[in-house]
Amino acid sequence: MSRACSPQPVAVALADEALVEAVRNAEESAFRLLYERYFQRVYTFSFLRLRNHADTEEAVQETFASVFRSIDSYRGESSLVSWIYGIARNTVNNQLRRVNAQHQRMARARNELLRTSIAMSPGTPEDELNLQRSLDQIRDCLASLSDWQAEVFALRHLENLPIGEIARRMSRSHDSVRSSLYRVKSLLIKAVDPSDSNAGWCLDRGPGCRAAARGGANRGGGER
Amino acid sequence: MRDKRGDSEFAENFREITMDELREFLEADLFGATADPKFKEELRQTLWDLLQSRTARADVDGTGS
Repeated sequence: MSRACSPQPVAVALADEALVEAVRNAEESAFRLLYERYFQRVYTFSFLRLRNHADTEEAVQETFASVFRSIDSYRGESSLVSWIYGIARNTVNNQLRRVNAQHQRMARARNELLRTSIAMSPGTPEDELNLQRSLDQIRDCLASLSDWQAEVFALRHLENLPIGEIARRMSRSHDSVRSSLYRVKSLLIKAVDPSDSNAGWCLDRGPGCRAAARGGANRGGGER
Repeated sequence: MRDKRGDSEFAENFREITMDELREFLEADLFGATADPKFKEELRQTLWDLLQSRTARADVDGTGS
């Protein structure tokens, strides 16, 4: 078949290096082409490992941010697909480590909560019921957090790390860490005192915010 | 615009990538983990803004390609 008969747009035929060069020059058609060519691959690859959409969205966001942030370091020594795959793989592996660490912290926090509730041993059945209700609400609240928010909270309140160190470890801004801590605290306050109308604001308004909001519903549940 | 972080990511990413891994990655769009279209579009817009601001900054710095 001759090249003239091809119904594909010219951009599809762009070689890796030409495509990258056009992306470096912020040509929108090239940017779209690269994004469309790799979005589903990165998404599915991430989902098959992370098994929920909230964590997958965070990984995909981080992968593409790395791709475009370091696009100048692509020198054509390997195919573009293997370069992007390498970034996706590292990102997903880091995300898996974070998720596992966060699950371990959550398990420790649950055990601690259980020990505390046993130690308190309320006197009357009504006290016990109220305590159990509060514990359930706190547990639901913790489960509704995105992984990174829960990790930020754990690093601050279980490991007593300073904000700056948490921001460095999580690759987030100081403001983002503070906002997350504020939100989690507000949610916890609301869980034990529903009359507090100031609690529960979502301060992070990026695409990850929706992932954060959906984190609890998706965590461990697999497909939507 | 090249930076040290980019260079280290570049080196890191090439370690031990096998053909099987690449094949799996290439075929990943054949399987149906459906992304939220709203997420995809919002991320596209965010990345495009990021790319434009990088290019504009490089032009100002005189380091553009």
